[in-house]
Amino acid sequence: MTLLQLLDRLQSDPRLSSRIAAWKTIPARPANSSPFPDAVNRDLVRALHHRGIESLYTHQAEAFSAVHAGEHIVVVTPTASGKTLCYNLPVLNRILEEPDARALYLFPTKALSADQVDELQQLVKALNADIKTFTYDGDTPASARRAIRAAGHVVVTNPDMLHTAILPHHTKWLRLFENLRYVIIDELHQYRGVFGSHVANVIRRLSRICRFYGSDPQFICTSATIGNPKEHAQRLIGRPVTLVDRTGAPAGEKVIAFINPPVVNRELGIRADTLMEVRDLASELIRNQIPTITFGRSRLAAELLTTYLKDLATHHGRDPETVRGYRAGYLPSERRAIERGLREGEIRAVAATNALELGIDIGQLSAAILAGYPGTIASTWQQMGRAGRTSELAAAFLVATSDPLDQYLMTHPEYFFDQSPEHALINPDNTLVLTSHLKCAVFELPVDHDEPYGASVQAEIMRHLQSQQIVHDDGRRWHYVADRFPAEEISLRSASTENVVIIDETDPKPQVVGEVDLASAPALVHEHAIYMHLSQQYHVERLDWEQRKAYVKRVEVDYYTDAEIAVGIDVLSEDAGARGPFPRAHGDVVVTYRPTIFKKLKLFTQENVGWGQITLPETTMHTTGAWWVLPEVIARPAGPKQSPTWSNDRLQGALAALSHALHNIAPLYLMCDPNDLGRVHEIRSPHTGRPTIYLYERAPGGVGLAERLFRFHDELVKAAIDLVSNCGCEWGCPSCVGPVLEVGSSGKADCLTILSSVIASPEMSRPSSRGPEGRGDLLANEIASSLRSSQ
Amino acid sequence: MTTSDGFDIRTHSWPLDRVHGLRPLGDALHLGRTAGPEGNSIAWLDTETTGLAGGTGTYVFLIGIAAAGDGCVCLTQYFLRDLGAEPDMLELVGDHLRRFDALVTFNGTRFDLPLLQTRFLLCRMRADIEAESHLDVMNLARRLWYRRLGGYSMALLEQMILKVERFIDVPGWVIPSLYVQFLHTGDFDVLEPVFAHNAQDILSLVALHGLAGELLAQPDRTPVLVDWFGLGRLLDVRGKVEAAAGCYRVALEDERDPSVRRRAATALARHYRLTGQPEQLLDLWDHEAHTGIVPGWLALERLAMVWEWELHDPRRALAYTDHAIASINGDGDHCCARLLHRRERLLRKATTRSLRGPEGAEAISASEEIASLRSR
Ligand SMILES: [Zn+2]
Repeated sequence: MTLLQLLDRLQSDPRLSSRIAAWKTIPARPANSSPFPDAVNRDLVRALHHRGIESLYTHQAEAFSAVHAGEHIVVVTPTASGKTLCYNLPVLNRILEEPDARALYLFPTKALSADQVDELQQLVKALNADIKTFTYDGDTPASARRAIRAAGHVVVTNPDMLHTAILPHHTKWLRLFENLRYVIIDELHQYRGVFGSHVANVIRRLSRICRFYGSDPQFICTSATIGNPKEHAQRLIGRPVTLVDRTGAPAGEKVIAFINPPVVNRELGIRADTLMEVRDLASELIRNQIPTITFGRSRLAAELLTTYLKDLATHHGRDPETVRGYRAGYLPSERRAIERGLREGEIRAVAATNALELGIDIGQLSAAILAGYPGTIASTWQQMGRAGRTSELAAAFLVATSDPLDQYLMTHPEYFFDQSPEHALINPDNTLVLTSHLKCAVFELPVDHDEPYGASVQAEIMRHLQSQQIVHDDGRRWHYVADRFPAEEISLRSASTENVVIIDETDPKPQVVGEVDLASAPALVHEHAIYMHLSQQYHVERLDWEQRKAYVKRVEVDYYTDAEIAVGIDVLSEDAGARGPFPRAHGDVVVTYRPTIFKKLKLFTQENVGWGQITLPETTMHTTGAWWVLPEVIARPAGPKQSPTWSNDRLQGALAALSHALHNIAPLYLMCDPNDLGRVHEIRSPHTGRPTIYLYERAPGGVGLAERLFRFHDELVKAAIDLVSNCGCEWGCPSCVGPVLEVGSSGKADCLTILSSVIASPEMSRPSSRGPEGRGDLLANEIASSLRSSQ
Repeated sequence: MTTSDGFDIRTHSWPLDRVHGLRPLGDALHLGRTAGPEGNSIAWLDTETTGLAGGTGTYVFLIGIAAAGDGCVCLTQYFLRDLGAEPDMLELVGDHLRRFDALVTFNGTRFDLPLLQTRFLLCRMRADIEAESHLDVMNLARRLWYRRLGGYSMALLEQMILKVERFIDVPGWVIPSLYVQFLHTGDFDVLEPVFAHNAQDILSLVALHGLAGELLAQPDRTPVLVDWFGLGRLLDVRGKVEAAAGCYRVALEDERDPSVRRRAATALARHYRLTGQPEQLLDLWDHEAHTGIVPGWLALERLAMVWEWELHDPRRALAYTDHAIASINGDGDHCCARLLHRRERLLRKATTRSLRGPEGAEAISASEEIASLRSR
């Protein structure tokens, strides 16, 4: 059966078609080619011919010409449209003309860089020219580093290495910086929120160093589809940017379908299990060897899908080895092998987590199945983009979970199809982020009194650093004089990079089989967990938390384990509080993740066959948070005397709605990513004694977002009212207070009631104490521009 | 003291008969030549910095350069009073260093020299400091004393080897903050101990350099305790193989660390092999097999190797191999395959030899001779 026949059956068989919540066909798009521009070196053209590239797609030619004209560019094109040539072409062309020229490639992850280096090296090989490309990351042996510094034409690295290893030692990279012509920033959309704000500052520092060595590189950025690629690129690199977004790559017709598993228990509203639904959907695809990728939202989901798909392959008489898992935590060599297998067609189906969402080259697949909504419109498009052929038909399926958000999309598919993808927001001038990087900048080179760094107020910050004896002012310039190495104290990413190593002790000689990041370890490799790796089951014998090691033994059991983690929040100290109709405060909080129990669930049926206690220390994170206490009128606890009162359920819904609305609006004010904030609500908070909602920072220690939430309270409330009352939905949707299943039928209205009662009150709340003087104008500008960009 | 805009130059000289450590400075200058570096005129260099982590944000605020002068050791200290004057000061430092063609430092390879190189580059001056002829005395000290003292910091070496005492001193890690304090307050007095510290470091550097040279020149008359294996290695790389072998022999007299003992024995065995002394080889490994510090199977395996390759007696080699396999317990598991492989090869060799007759017989008789010699 072909994919077309499969799709037909899906639509015509009533048992199947009743599950279809949306069905869209995206018409085929013809190729739009362009001859090689004259400026492209003839040898390079020959090498490309040799690699089977006879002409360029229009976007590639457009990118080349813009770069040739000296512009900074951002290229936004779909997966597998040949975006790497958009930067490899100008870079190689320049090196051929100017053999001393250098380029710096920045990738957000190692997996990605390995892939792209491979492609570049193939091209260099075809060129038969002496062009050296090197990867410089934590794995680069010390012995190779000297050669890379001196002789690498193309240095491939990541922002973290640039930040801690290259910029602070820039004199060792003299040759690179003197001759730096291009900086490539791949996967630009990854650099958003607090992480993006850090990276923007690393780029400011890079620019200073280039100025010192007399170079002025051009930036070539690529991005997946986001709402504001040009503006985001400009903010990130601090320069005007030309947008290249009309793809010339061809695409076959593509069907996008939303599949809602049927209700199996009408009373409880329980739907059929998402993974089983994905399995059923994948069955015919696998039987017919149609190249397929499935995405799970968690590692566990990805591993379960791997097991299911392998089982399907066996069932249909196919080699189970043609089905593989792909997720973070596999060893790099394993991942490389899987990527190669996919490209070369030995692997026909892969079950992945979002580790594959990035631009890793796995060739063209015919079908993508998403087990659950990935959380954002942008990443949904990216995952769906994995299915796409240059000429043949492709299909992407979103299979809903029973989560409120997924169910909302099933009933309101237009919410997905009509809305532009999320904006990437950053705030490079966030005071804490800026201060951190000014420390690094002055470490790298003394800062002149009148030197521009970013948009703002560095003198004030430098004086602050001076008072801490971190810098010294010689009358003209600030010099770094502290004896600590500043870059090491500043992590660009909030997530810890520590891992727990998984060691298989089945055989006499223990063997490392993989690793999991520290944050996920309590849920995945607690004692007695079944850890799945490449669809082999392992029983966790013991977890040595101190040593970051999990010891496992191979087993074959018919169940898997699923751990429950309780998230709690405690207020450590209140930095400032405000009374008024909507009492609020901000301060230091500690967020606690406590693994509680794990369930043993039977494979294929999800039947609960047992459970166990998890005894692990809870992981805590110190950070900052802001919290709001529900107005007195509404928040009165249910009791016989006071009325009218809300039931606990209604209160629960109202709190969820309110926290959702504030969480939705806050990133626009803070120029951060929604993921930079977490939210918690409590019917009765131990700290305030009343119904309370919290927004907390996900970056350990925080970067001052919570304090700004507190300060911008009035604007925030007004904007939230605006958002909720102008939202076209009836009972709540992901854009305003959250889906109705989460907030209940009264959630949206109650949220509005609460917010309006705050606004209606004669005195908008006044803070009772203030932190250091805010920079009103600057912040106001920031907000104005962020609101503009979000429209 | 000369004061220019933003930096000071201080000079100081010590007479050659000034004793620091074991010998007068004059002797140290002379003795040190054996240790290197190549070059006609040597400068001893030590710096004080605003940080110990390195990188572009670490300033070198005090540079001490000593050299042999007319009847004295002359020290010149360049002190950066004003960070803005760094280029001017470095220009003079560069001129000063160009008068010499070799440098001696303590940890200069990893610290002082890259740091100075960085400072020159940041001041837009090209100086190939790292490329110059250079001896890092710390590398010698590590070999000579690390295992004896459990460390090789200058402070430890002064205390245990040179037996010099510092009267006024600041610990190294305090120095950066003293300089920052000076920048902040302008109070020069806080820095006096830093100048003294730098001068003392250079004196000790000259003395250690001399002592290292002395040990290398006369390993049989060492005035201080020393790691014999380390000294042997240093002599070996300098081509003094006989002296090195002597050191290894001394090391084996009382070495109880299995891995060091194994390395010393292996180094000595190499020497015997290269100089064609199979009897010594047999003695050496025989002794090791009996001492019981190096694993027994290892010594037996080495004996098998001697019999196989030096004395061409596969049968005896086979016997030792079997013996070695029999005495493996636990720790040698991963070498078992290697031994079994050897055994197979020897079995083959032993049979072909006995078939071939005269040649094999001759070889055997040669080894018989040694064997009988040894049994006497
Ligand atoms: Zn809505």
